Amino acid sequence: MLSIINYIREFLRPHWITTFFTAKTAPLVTPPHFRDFPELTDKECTHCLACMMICPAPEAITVVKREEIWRPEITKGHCIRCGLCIEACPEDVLTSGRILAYKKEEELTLQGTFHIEIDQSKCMGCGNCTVACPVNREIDPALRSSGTSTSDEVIMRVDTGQNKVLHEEKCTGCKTCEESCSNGAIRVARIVEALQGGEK
Amino acid sequence: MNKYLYEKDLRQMKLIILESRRHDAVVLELAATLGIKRQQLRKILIERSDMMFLENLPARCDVAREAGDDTERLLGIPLLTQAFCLISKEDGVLIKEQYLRRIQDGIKHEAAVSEARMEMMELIRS
Amino acid sequence: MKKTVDISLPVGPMHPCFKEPCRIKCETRGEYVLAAEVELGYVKKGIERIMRGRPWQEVMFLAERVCGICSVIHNFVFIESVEHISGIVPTERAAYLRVIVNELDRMQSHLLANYSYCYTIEHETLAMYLLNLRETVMDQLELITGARVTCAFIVPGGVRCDISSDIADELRSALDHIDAELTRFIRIFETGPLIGLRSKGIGILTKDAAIESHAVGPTARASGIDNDQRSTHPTYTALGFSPVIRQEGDNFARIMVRFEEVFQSIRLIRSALEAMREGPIRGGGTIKAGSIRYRGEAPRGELLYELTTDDYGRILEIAIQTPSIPNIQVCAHAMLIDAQSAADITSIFISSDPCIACTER
Repeated sequence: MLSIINYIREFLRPHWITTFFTAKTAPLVTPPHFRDFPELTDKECTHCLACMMICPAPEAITVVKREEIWRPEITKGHCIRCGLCIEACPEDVLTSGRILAYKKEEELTLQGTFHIEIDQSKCMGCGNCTVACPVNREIDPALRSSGTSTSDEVIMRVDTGQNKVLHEEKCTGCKTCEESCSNGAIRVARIVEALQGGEK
Repeated sequence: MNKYLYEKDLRQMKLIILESRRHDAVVLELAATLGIKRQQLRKILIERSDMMFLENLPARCDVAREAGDDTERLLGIPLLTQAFCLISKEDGVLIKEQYLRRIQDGIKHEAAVSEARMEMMELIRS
Repeated sequence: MKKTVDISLPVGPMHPCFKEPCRIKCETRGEYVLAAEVELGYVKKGIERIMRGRPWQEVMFLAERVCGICSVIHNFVFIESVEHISGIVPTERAAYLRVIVNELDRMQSHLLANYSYCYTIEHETLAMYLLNLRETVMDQLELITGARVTCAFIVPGGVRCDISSDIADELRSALDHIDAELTRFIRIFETGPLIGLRSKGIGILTKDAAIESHAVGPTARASGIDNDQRSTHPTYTALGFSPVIRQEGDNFARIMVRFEEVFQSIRLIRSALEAMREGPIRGGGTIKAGSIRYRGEAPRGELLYELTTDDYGRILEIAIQTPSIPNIQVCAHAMLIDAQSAADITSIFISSDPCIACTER
């Protein structure tokens, strides 16, 4: 009996009756705070590779040079829309939802230090990683054509059949070497810290 | 618990469950108390239990480790009866009583433990 | 060893009442259930293996993807366990924000669980009402974090973003709306004679069986077990948390525990919004080497992370024990036994809130 009264009370509410007679599906709109795929702003990319460093999905974001301008490109099938690249970018090149606004407002940053680890038992000294490394290529343009480097300023280079890390502090943690290694011998440990309020 | 219908070959998937880290630890622990190899225990478990039960083994062992008195824990009876359900609770009590009787009769501790193990293995195999 | 029975009844792997694939094999005499067995392996992900050798910023997203319904708590427990390893303490405001997002997630998970129970006992009207109410909660989650599921809101030392006073006001009014609506729905649920017929005294889980199988969450709390990891969590104790416990142990008790926990979550969020003071939301800090066994309370119960990290903050070993594992096991081996009707098999199974994605990490 109480149950029937409850049902009648439920269906006799003015709100229920009005919505019953004027039933209408709300239009499908994406709310402005939705964290969508990152989009480019008109800021200039400085090729610091912070977005590639932080990206948790494999090969979701790559910084490429098109028409003489560096620009991050997102592979939509790989991107998981986490929005970390937007927070990591120091130049505000990317935007999505509320992230860029709150990042500026609250001065949020993600900073990392990196450590390159080469498993010498797996490494066959092919030098793919040294050629692929975008920082290496900036430092020694000879790598682009010849594939071998004689410079001591590069991050790593193949010397007497073994890959040696020379300047670990120059690494930006972009993982390009990991992806180009055919044996999975090189790993970059990225020790990232989530900070607030400018430099520590 | 151990009588099922339409047997499909689930051994491979059950083995994958037992190989994961926490499951491997509890299987090793019980295999050590029973004095058998872990592969043998895995075989027994795969034959006896269903997949959901195998998944839940570590959690059941966590509870069973706190149950029972010192003698029972030494023989691993709570694990066998309560967590792994390999022998019934009555049999567990019987084994414990026989073990205590042997100790009273003056049989050495190690010998009594190994006899209790033999009895447990017989019960499991039967 | 085969058993001679009248009927052998398979339920699943695809069943209209299940959200995810799994197969229950029941031995029945007539409609009376003698024994049941759950067969898994349809959605095995191997996520623990993928996590190995990766830093927190990758594992955090993988952890969320263990379960799509209770994704926030996986993030929460993973980050808190690495924080405990490295001695990072989240800032005060961040701790309260974590509680708010976690409780919103718990609300939507409980509403979904109760939706599927109502759907299973063929009360589709109430089911759709609950599902509609869940959308309000999901919208709040989206408003705060930017995504409905897999929010990725919690990072070591704090949270991803702050909430402004506008968002807090909107959250408060949404909570008032949920509070009012849900009170009416519960009145319908409690007094419905047909609902009572399908729920009361069905699928009874005794306290002993629950303890033996390490049942957790609402399933255990409906059987009178005081087991809630939130009672030992510092932020929750500061908010004055006490677990919801019922004694009956049947389907009805489990559903009512979930409904009451939704109200409890509303109260917790309100008091967190009151207690929150302005301040930083990120404290920084890097992950160090160590190993830990850390428990947290997911919507379905106790979630356990056992992990080891190395000097560079990478995860070396990880084992996740999700709450659905003990709950489904106790459901199959204790609750389903002696079910009087084949129609009760699905309703008993759904009332334990099974999550197959959680179970097969």
